[in-house]
Amino acid sequence: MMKLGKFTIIAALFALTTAFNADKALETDKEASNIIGVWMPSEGTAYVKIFKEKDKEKYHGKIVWLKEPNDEAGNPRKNTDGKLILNMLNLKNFVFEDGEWVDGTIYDPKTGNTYYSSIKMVNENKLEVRGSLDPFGLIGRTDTWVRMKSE
Amino acid sequence: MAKSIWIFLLAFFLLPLSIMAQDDPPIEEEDEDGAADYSTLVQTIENKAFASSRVIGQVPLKLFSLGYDFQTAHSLETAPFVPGGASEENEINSAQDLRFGINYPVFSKNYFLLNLGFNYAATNYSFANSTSASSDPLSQALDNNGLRTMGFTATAFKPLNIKRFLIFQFGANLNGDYSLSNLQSFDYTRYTGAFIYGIKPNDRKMWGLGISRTYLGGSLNYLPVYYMLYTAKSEKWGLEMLLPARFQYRRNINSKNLLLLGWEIEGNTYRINNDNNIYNLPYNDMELRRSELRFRVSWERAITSQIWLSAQAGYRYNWSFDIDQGDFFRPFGDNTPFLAENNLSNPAYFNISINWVSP
Repeated sequence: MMKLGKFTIIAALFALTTAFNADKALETDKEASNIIGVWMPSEGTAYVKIFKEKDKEKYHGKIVWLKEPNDEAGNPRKNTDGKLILNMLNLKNFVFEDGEWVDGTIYDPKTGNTYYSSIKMVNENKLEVRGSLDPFGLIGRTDTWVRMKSE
Repeated sequence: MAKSIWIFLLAFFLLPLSIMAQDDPPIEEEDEDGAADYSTLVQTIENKAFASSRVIGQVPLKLFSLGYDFQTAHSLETAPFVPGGASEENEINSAQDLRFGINYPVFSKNYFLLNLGFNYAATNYSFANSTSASSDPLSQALDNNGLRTMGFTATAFKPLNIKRFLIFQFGANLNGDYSLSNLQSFDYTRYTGAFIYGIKPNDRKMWGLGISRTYLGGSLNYLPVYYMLYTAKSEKWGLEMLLPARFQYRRNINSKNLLLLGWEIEGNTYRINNDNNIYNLPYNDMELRRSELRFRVSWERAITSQIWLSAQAGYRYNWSFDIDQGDFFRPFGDNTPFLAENNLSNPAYFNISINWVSP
């Protein structure tokens, strides 16, 4: 039987650990990017596209479709600060941790308020998006969003 | 321990201030898909839409409230509590309330909302001339003990779909001339409730009809209720009502300044403790049927997005300040005689509160 030197064993263990960690990182990365896509909040009046920021491990979302894009005067709908709602970033700075997207914020263009937010994926087509007043998520509201697909 | 509590409170009240408007530079997407046509997309699974519990522009929901209420000088004329007794008139320099309320959303999803609340109010009466053992029982109780109310509420909002909803409300209150160190028996807890079926045609209007079990008039009663929240298309004004309990016209000066004009009825039944027969009466089941109509103007002002100040001034009109024996159903028009029918004159009042709100 071949006798293994101390160095060989350490090198083998190192290689195994590195491969395992690389696999795990790849898996986590894949799991994190499951959120990427177009989603519809429960009210059904808008679609939000969630995307990954280039060269960063951060996820954001922007409003890409509105059921009623114009107001009663026929002008593009704006928020309380007079900014266009279409293409507005309403989800910001989410990071993937322990199977959830956390530490983000969600903006409500109807009221002009921004809340702390976290996102949980119930299944590949359903998200639970929570907005809260406190950073611990104790006082808030959870909404169900569904994934949109091409016909 | 005290330090941890302070850190926790600071986290709650100050950290939310760090949430700022989203005015950052544009963010570059990793996989930009160009100009996609999103209008052709379809749902992968059904997502049933539900009506939300609020309308645009309404007064923010108060999650935590601490308030002070002051009624100016007025008089109390009490009727005799026993046959052949004399009536009595007392001047009250002021009536002052400390009010504290919590309304916590324990479950808040788009298909169901449950808020649990706790409220406490202590009213202290300052008599111009101190009452004595020979004074009538009500004046003695008010002068020596004041009135307390402590209650628990549960409010559930159940949307049936995008346009229809149900509201259930339950309340349990302990009212009387007790103190926190000498609490009255929970046997005297009074229960209230309401059920409303409503319609929400759009984001600016919701209304409903229902029935309530209430002490609004001082005595137990069952009343129909009409609920409406409305904001005009201009979003400059609106109406908020739960008739007959309250009505307010809202002027939205801007998103951080609201002016309200309307009324509110506050009513309850309060046990007057005579356990040791200090009033030398042949009964120990006296209850004060207190009901007052408050015509008022209020100013709601945001200090931060979540901390709002509320200042209120108005006229407090006495509807009932009579004494009954025990708790029983007394509908409007009921002629059952009261144990003592009292007259309380009507002063101006002021109220100020600081509130942590859900904007």
